[in-house]
Amino acid sequence: MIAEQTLITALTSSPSVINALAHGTKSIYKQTAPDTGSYPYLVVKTLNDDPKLYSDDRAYIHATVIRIVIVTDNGVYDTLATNIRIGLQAAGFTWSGDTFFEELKEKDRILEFIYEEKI
Amino acid sequence: MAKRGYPKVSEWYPDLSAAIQEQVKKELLAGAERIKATAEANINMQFRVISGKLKASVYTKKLSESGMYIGIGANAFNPKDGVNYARVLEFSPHEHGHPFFMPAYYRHKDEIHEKILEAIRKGAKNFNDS
Repeated sequence: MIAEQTLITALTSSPSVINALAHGTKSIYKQTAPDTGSYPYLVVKTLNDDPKLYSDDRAYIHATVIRIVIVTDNGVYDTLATNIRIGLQAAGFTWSGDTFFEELKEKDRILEFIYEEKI
Repeated sequence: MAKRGYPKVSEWYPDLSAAIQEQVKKELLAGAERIKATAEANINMQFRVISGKLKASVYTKKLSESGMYIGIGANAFNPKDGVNYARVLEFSPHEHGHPFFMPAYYRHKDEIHEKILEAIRKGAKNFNDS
């Protein structure tokens, strides 16, 4: 999927993001988080891939919604979130909002982005 | 001192404002119901439904008397430990996380926006024609 590839490229080419993760590029996981892992790490998930802009029975745009979860054990994620936003917005992603989530010992920040590509 | 800025449309044409609001309210409610229906369909697709409590917990409600603010959500709680498991399923990055609500929201977001714009046009046209 182009959106996912673009996202991974944007994240891995941003030193401020990679340096802030526990094991650099190895700390980026697709779809699900590992059972054990060093904090902080990222989980990248595709939520939706919807067609948009119809004409003559044809859709002209893919709108892909991507969720990035910053998983931490101490809730220190603000700088990382800002750097992810800066990196992805430069790569053509539109920031859609943040949510905060806590589960057992983890404190997560969830960022959602929309990426539109012409078909 | 003279009042600055543009007057509100509702002050000049109170009937026009009411006509538009009626149309917008209908579309807001219909949009919320569409998101709710898709979220419920996502639950059916992603989970083996046992008690149906999660699905039953998806709600829409008016957040203001005017009906111009509609809330949509899911609030299934585990009575034993008080955990909001709708939230866990939606947002957990681990294997038990299965987003069902936000995908429904994103699927209908643009469509609802379009329908509301259409409702505003329709409300204004109805007012003009009357």
